[in-house]
Amino acid sequence: MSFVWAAVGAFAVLLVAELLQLRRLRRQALAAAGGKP
Amino acid sequence: VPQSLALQAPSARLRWGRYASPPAFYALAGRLLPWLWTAAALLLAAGLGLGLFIAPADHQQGEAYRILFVHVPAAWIAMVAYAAMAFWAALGLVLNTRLSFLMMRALAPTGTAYAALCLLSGALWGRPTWGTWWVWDARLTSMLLLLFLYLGFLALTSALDDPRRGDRAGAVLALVGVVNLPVLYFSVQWWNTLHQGASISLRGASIAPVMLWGLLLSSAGCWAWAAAAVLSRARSLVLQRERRAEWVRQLPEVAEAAR
Repeated sequence: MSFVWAAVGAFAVLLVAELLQLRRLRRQALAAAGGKP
Repeated sequence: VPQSLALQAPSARLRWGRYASPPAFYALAGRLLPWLWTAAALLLAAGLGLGLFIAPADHQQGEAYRILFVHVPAAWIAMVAYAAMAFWAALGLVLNTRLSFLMMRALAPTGTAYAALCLLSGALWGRPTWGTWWVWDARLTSMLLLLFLYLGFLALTSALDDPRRGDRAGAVLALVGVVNLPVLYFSVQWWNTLHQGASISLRGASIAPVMLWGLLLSSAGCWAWAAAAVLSRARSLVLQRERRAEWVRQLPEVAEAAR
């Protein structure tokens, strides 16, 4: 079962990493559109 | 207006043409996102719950087969996201529509992540069932090539300072790489590979119903997640690309960010 949890853990890490990337991209885009450097 | 467009019914033209405009796409995607994120959370919880805790162990592979509930959706999404990327690349090159290239760019990080997850979860499945993490088998090698194509696309599009040149260069690479997709999909039929053939096809499934439901629900959850992530990324790319446009300046979230 440890292999299964390793795969599920990798999946969870991927989901969290993508959420963080999307949030950073959104903040950068809003700042750029709002005229901030 | 080209002859072919002028001959179409006005309603059809409105429906398709409308969402190719960045402001209409931005608004529509914004309305869809809460539904997609909610569907992703519910479907993933149901699918993984069924697959990890309720479905019985396999009579040959024991518990290790449960990696299926992560591995198979990841493989599907990695493949289909690349096909979608190539579709938007072709549309962008032919029609020179702004939004097509942004959709192509928005798909790449999600496709990369799922291709990497597919390879990693496959290695974790291979070790207990095949006795090895990796073999240079047709299916595994073509999936590795898909990951490299994604990484090459990301490197190429971010290396060029001029975004329009980056769009076109990336689109050409995406289209060239599409030849890998049939090789990847049919590799288990064309060659004698260690990787097993498909368990689910249009003719039916060769796995138990509870396992099938777990797989279908977790796949639907991954699809909803991928769609939400791609639309969310595309909205940010639209904002960046259109930042000097009047409609962007009038958005309440932009006005708030400017304060």
